[in-house]
Amino acid sequence: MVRPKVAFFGMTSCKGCYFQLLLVNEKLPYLLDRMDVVDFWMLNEAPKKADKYDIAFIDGAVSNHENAELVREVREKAKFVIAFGTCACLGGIPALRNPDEKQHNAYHKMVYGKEIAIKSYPHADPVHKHIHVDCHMYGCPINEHEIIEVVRDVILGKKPVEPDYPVCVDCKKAGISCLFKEGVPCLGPVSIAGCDAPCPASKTACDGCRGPLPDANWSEEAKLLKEHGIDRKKIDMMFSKYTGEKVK
Amino acid sequence: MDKSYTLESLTKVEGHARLDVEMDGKNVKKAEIAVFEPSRYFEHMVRGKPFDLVPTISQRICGICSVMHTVAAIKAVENGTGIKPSPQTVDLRRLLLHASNLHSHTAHLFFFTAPDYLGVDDVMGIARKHKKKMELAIELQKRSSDIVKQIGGRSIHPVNCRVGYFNSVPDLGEVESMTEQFREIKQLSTEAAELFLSFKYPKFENKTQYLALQEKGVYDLYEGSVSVFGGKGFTVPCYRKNIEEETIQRSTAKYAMYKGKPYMTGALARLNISGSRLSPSAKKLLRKHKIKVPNFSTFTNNIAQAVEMVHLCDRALEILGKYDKSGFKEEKKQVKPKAGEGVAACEAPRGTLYHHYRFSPSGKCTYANIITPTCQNVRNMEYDMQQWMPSIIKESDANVKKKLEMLIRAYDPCFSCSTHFLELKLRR
Repeated sequence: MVRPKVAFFGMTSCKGCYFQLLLVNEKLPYLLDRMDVVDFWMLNEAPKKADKYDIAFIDGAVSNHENAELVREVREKAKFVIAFGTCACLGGIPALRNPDEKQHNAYHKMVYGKEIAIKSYPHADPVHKHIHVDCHMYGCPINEHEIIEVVRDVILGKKPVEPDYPVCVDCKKAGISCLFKEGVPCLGPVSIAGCDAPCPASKTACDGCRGPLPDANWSEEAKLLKEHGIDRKKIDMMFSKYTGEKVK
Repeated sequence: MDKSYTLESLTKVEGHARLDVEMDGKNVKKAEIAVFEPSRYFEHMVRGKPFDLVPTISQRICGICSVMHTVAAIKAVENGTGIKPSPQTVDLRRLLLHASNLHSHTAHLFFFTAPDYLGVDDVMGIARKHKKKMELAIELQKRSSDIVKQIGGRSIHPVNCRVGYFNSVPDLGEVESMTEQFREIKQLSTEAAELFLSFKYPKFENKTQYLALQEKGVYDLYEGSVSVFGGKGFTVPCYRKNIEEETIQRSTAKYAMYKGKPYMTGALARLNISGSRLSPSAKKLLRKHKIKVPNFSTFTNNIAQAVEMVHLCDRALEILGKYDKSGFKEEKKQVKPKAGEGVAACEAPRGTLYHHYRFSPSGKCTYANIITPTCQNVRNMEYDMQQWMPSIIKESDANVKKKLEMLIRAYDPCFSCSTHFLELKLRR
């Protein structure tokens, strides 16, 4: 079997998805055996700086000029680009500041003081806003089993499947009883699945870390949350937690 | 003769950073660390958010210390809103911290540090040439992250640990299996500690200030006052008066100093301050390998981490012992926030982590300040480089570079969590 040349890049994020990758645990040697890791600053002593990559993983949102340049360079060199994790797919937590775009100067001053030059964009973007992305892997953090599936698919020349159904399906699959029944308001019905529902499994409401499901019934979900005593402002905040964007 | 070294990209660390050293003969003209992680403005992003959402945002500061950020944030939110957790909730958080520390130390020691001492380039080399050691690392990772998942609901960015309570608690069977797990982890940790105690570390001592939280009578990570090795110390709410966060012209860094001087925080600081409270098994390892405590070699931080792993298993077993008959009880899930201000700290793998928030009467966050361990250690990394360079300058460029990287790596730096760093320049 030909081992694909694989590279990993980090933009603006907490790097948790890469730790999830290193956490694949007993599967890590399996992965390392099947790919030639040519560039991964977190692991390599001396990145080989290959001219071409078969697969490039991009973690994190694009939030400054260097990020934007790097993703363009990666796109030119890579056959297959994977947006790795919610920050790369949707902007994620770094995009929480996007609605305050106009106050960038003010909050920069608040955090760093006035004498420090701003080096970041006023918004954190998903990678696909800058380059074409071949596959999205959602999750904050990503699901450790999904990595194995995606890498295997890409090696076999298949396009990995992106789940297009709500977290409720994952709950049913895992036999987790619905949190709404216990009076806990949950974002499962409007959120992308594929996580195996770890939050509902520990009686914690899904907060939609894999992003909003494109065809979700938002008004009905908002109504349900309101019935559970959550005010409209907080509902909007919950809906936009990983995108920085209001849902329509 | 002027000679300068620039390590364009520091590898095998979390996040992105650059070293810049300038020499004039034997004199160090410049020893700088530049961190080029993009700003994420967490202190701004949590403002206006309801108190219960704050920790779920702050935990995303760092992927590897997400448990510590969660716990520190929750504690600060509770201090600020007048919410009191039960002793059981506190115990579960302690277990979470211990398991997460074990996990983080394993990642740092085996994936980032070990390649330097085993003559391989990176973790892929360990996987190929040191299969047994790789297996040990993976076992440790798996078992410790399983416990984090069991208690926290997820191994990274735990979801079950809330302001005031846990949504679900381990049942009696899980207490039993976790106890078994910690026993196994202790054995594996002892094996790991023996390995890291056997390495030949560069000989370099540079006594500095050491700061760590110290709890009454125990070596734990959850709370306490800030102790200063050989000094007086201070309480956590007074952190502002004691730890100076400095903003540097022309750079985007805010870095921390104590009494105008650099200091070290992390496993070595904990060892120097609370070493006498280590468990008998951990102490035995130190004695067996004739490790001096207190110890002023930065490289001993690797040893301190490994030995601490053994201790943390003993500590976890002690806590679990309280619940092996009765188990954990379902927690009360009602909390009512009040307006107020709260500061809290806990010990993260890399050192003391401070979170500070203010809340309005409706429970909305109006102010936040967070100081991460790496922010505190960077200044000391530069201090170490200044002190060490004159004695290694005779070596080849490649060797100097390798040694400096090993030195910085010994701190287990986590540059993505140093929220305030973009670039770090030494002021002249």
